[in-house]
Amino acid sequence: MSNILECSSLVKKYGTKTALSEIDLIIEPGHITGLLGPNGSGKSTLIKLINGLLVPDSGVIRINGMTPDVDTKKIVSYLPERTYLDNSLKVKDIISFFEDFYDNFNKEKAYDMLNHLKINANDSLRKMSKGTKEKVQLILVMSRDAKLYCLDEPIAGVDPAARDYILNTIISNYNENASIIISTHLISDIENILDEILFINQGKITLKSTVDEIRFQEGKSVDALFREVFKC
Amino acid sequence: MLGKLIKHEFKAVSKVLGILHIALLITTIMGIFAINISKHSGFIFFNELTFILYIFILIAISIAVMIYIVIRFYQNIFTDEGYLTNTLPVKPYEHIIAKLYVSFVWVIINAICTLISFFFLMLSQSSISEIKIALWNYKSDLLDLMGNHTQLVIFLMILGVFISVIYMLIMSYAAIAIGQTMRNHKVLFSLGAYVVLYVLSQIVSTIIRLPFGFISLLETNTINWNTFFVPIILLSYLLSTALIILYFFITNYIMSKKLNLD
Repeated sequence: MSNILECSSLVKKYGTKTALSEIDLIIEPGHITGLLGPNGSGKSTLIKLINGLLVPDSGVIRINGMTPDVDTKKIVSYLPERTYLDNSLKVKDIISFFEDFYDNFNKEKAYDMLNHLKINANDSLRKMSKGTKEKVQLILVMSRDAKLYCLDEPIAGVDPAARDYILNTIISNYNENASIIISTHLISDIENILDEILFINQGKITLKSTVDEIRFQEGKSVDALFREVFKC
Repeated sequence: MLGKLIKHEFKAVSKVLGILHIALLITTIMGIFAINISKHSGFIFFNELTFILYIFILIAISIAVMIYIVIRFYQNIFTDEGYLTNTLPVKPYEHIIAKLYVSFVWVIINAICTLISFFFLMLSQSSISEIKIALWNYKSDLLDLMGNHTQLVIFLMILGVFISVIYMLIMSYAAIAIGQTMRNHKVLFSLGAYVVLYVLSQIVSTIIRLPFGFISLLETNTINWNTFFVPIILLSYLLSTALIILYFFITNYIMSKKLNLD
């Protein structure tokens, strides 16, 4: 089976500023990977490159063996850090929108999760709080049967009680061949669901390891290691 | 996928544009009443003022339609909504075509509604027979002007309207896209790009038409539809079409390769 994500010598610059320099990275199917790094380290840039929202300046990025295009967008489910939904729409309108464009979207799953979080599908987004909108987006993203999920700060704006439900949803809703990349600052909250972690700093991957390795070899949690490595 | 894009695009814009056209309907009804009332009040001046106000609102609604369409393109592709739009499993050119198509249909709907509104206002001021006579006179004037090329001229006029609407839309799209390639002040650069593109296209079309000006000076006797107007019109349509294709490729290139959402 081919790797779900492969980057080799990947470079992205914004003008003269280098956001990612010479990234080499492989992510295999069936892994939950934490993409961890301080602000401006290049996390979002990497995720945007995976989703075809940016084009690399040099190097190669492949998703399931393909460069980002229509075919990769079909199998990548992306939760950006922004709320990207049109405020004038109702939740059910957006669900039918997703259903129309994504063959792998599971409508029943989406309604089920909405019920669980007590979100009314007939409500328009304008009436919702920022946290509720984030929940709606996450539900939409996790209701797709994708091969790769890219979650950029998925729990940052959500209350701790909903966080647990969301994390549970994440682990229980993806099939074992799918991979998830989660970028976040809230390491301690998600540490338990991660298989491996990537530390990224100033556009470079500084550490790639499994969570178990860190626990056994370093004898500390990922959160503690992060605080140590990126100490200001 | 193109069909689905068009379907959802209509859904997304029709609410606001529908409201604008209800406003157009109300303006027409109120305009008819107001002008009739003021006509009997004896103040001719008031009558004219109402009419001017009516025309002003009609123009304002048409401008609002254009602005809304262009802002929708910007918002849906280059702001936060772009995170969804640009990650749909769809090629960038399909987004452009879908938006162009839906905008085009709405601009034409707006033009037709405006004409109908104007017609009813005229009708309320005079009888159908009067309008018929007026139109008949106008028609005979037109026939004199066009000679025996009526059908050709009407065809060229409609074609001209279609081309210029598409031209206007795609030029706005290209201007917005060009502005997005800047790091800062993207909207400002988009406005600047629009002005530059507008001035450039005016210069180019003037230069293209220039030779015809000399022909008209040299051979004043042979000027007629076939030798003069039709070639110049066709040439300007051809030029517009070439620029439409160029703007389309610029927009598509920026959306595919130079996208940089904040």
